[in-house]
Amino acid sequence: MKKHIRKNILIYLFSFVCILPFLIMIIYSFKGSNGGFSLSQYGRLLFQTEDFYIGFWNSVIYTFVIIGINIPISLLSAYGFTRFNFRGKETLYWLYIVLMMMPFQATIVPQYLTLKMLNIIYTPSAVILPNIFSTFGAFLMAQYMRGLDKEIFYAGITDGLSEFKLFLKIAAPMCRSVIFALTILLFINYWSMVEQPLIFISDLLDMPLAVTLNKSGVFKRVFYAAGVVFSILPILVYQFTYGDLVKGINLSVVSDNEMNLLGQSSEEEGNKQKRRIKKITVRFLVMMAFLTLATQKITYIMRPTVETVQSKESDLKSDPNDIMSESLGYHDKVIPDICVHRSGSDGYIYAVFEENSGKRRKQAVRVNVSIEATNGVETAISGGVAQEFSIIKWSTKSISDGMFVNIEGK
Amino acid sequence: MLSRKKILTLCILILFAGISMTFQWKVQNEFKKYPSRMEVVFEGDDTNYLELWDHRDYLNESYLTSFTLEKQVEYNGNELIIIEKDENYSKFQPYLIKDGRECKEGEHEIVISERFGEKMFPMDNPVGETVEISGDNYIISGIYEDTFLKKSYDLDEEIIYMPSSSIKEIDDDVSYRVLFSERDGRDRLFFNERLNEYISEGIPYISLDSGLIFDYTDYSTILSQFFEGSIFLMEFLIFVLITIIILRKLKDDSKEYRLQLQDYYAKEIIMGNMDAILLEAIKLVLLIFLWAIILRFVINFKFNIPGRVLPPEDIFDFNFYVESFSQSRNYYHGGIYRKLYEKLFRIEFIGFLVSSVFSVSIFIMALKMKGSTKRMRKIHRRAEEEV
Repeated sequence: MKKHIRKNILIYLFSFVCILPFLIMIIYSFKGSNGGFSLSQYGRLLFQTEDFYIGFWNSVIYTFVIIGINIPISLLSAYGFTRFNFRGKETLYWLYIVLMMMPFQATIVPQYLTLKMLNIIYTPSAVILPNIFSTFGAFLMAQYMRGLDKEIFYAGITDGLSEFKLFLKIAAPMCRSVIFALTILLFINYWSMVEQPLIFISDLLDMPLAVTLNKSGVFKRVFYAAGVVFSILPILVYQFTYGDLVKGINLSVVSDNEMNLLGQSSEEEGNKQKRRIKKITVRFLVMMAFLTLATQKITYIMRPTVETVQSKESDLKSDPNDIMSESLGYHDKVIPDICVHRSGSDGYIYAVFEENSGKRRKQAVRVNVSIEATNGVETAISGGVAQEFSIIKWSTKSISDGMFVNIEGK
Repeated sequence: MLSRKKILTLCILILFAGISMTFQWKVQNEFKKYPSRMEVVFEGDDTNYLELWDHRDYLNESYLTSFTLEKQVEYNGNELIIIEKDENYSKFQPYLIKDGRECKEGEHEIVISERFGEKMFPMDNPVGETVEISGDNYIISGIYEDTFLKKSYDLDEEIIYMPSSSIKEIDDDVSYRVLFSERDGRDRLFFNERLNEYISEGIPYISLDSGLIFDYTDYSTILSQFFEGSIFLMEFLIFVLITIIILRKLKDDSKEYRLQLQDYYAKEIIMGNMDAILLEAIKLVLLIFLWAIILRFVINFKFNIPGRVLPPEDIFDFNFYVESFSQSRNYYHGGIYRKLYEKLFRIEFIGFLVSSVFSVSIFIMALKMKGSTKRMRKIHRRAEEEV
């Protein structure tokens, strides 16, 4: 008995350690800027962070497109390997396994060259195309199909079914559990893919959420909440396919009785659970669509409009209204004094940079400068920015570093 | 068949929503007739007001400027706002003389409102009559027409116009106002900043800061957002409704197809119901087109709320709203434009709530109606089966 209790404590302890990062993420997501309980992270993330939704829907599109094409292709190739005998079949199958075993890092360069040759490098297709032909699915399904009873296929042939109908009406329905298992495995893999988009995509707006979360600076204050929302869909998909996942990864056909022995619920209960999870998933996606729309509107009104100026070369006069007044020297970067925010003897300005993406959003970036001379209206500065940069003169709201802005009249 | 009661209720709701939105539209359009402005109020013997007066020509070069004097008095139990106006004032607060003529410079003449005239002289024509206000006699030279705003939702006070320098004695109740607006009447961002820059370039020894600066340049934009919001809500609800209708249609059709597939082959179903299938397909395509068009509207719709009325970073920063509300109350310093704005703000807000309630009710009713047609279709099918 004592041994049993000790064993249970160990299990609980290890489980706790496993879920600790997730718990920390949830707890910290409810922490406000003052350290107390607050929903501000969720408020900011779900209503004011446009980049989150861009990343989220990119992830959804990548994952669903890849899985949607990969599974039928895998199913067809697995059927071919199981049902047909042709020359070089074993070699081809061996090649599939070798490809599956190869780490992604080893194939980066050939993949890059291929995609470049196909002229799709730095586009979303560069991530989708190599993954829809991944060999893991074909291997998993071929292993499963080998366990299917051949008598069923003979019965089908006797009934007059063609080969394609055999595949469609017998093989595919019987592989349902392995399809679900493959779906969840692929989903988790592609939902959190980082390396491939980082290498094969250049535009930040085409990146999936797993990359955007780490690459974009806008998640600094909402990182934990973003992590929690990011995890919801994989959890729902996992719940949806849980029974089939257990069944599918056994790589053989397991009967319902055996599944019940494994502690799985009956098929009816499983279906009920699936319908419930499906409903939740659809509702979650609909909610995300509405929140995307709301965020689009809120982001637009929250974005300040600015008027910019460019620095000029000029002879700075001590009295700005008197051209004959004493000269404060000839300077190559003279800007209106209102552009300079002072902090001690030095100061800083906000320059506008264009984001390196298809959306070409304008971003205010804080640049430290030295103040050379000033007459109260104009100020000569040095360092920081080149002459052609746009410097913020007026803004409809207070500006902070990294904020996206609209430029007046553009 | 849908019940007549429901159709009638739906029609009434649509009518009320339409009336409410038309009223909102009318109110915001009337307010737009008064150009957006910046008002600088000087108290007592502030010399900057006189300095600005001396530089009227310079100011008028780039901006529409009006120098006014505003006084609040009581007359026979009525609250009056007397506005001593210059020649530019009518461009800021346009009014139409209905009877008589405009008051003349240097004369003791006033122009009163239609309603006030009826109140004071219910039996006679007020034009040419003399009234005594604050110990001075004034001749009523004309009556101005009450606008839609005045008729529908008036200020508590009556406004009386008189030419500049008609008020003899200046006391503490008087506020000197300088009104600035863009010459072309358009709303531009950073009006306050540009004006300050213009003044500091041309007349650097004068500062507007000595007076109280009221920036009303985006008031008409703020007011118009209620109407825009109502439109957006309606578009959005129509979009959701069409989405639901399309999904229901697809679901019903596929269910129907699956049911028929139990008794017939697919080819038989298609060949036997070609007309019905084509009709359904056309309906569906049209619905999808409509859905796409409305989706485009919904996505492209943009609110235009001025940045200064929103928190700098977090839209849910409620402290900011509380502070700015209390600040605006403390900062209040008369002015008929501001008074009018505040009243219309309340009207537009109520109008928005009313039209939202109507829109949501129409949406819910339309959804229920779809449900009833579905039920009717079921009953019809059952009857057919029985036959």
